[in-house]
Amino acid sequence: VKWEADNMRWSFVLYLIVIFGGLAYMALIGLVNG
Amino acid sequence: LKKALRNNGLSLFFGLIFFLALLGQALTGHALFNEEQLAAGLEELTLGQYLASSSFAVDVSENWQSEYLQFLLYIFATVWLVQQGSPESKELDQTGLESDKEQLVGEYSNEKSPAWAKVSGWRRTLFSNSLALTMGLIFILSWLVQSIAGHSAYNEQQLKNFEQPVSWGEYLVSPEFWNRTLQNWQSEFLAVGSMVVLSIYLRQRGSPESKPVGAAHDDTGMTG
Repeated sequence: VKWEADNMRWSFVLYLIVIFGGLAYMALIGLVNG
Repeated sequence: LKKALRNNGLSLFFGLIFFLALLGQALTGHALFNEEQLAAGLEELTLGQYLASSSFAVDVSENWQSEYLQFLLYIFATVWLVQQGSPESKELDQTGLESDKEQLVGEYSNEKSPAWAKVSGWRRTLFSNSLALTMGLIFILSWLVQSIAGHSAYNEQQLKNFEQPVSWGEYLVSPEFWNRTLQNWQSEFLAVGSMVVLSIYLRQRGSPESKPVGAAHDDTGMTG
């Protein structure tokens, strides 16, 4: 059960990293180029 | 490992096709950008330079914001609005936030309930709205990023055309910003409405987005 819960949590955390990491990267690009 | 892959199939599948599509967008966007640079007699960008350009950032973020708005509205609207016959809808008499008993909170929580569902006060209120709040936060941030990157890309275009750059405030009320925004919104709203309405009479066997194949057309809120 622990192993499965860890995988679920990894999916959740990875998606949040991609989303907020992507947003931060794009905001940085916009601000630096602007 | 095989079991772990199977149990996380949906998140892995969508994560994978997201990266493939983004890669395709980057490569084709780079090629298109350079075609336009050449036509204007300007220097070409390397792929790395294109990935760090506001042109790429605005194209990505404008699509992100509309998708998160779509799900945000869907999450909220389905609390209060129903559609007879749609598996995407709750039962017709279930509108609203529902009782603590139905929502398994406070005294109705069970031993496996998340900790913040068991307590009362601000923690339960926050956890009770955490999905919509997070989708809403991502929507607002993506839209903000679209405006920042879009402003920068728009001004680069203005300069190429020997025209005056605009301020961020001016960009926010410009046809360019709203055209980029609304062209994405209209398609999302049509797609969500279609999902609600088409699933009344049409089926996909085995999909939780559909009613069971043999369910009556006027059955509401059933998933197969």
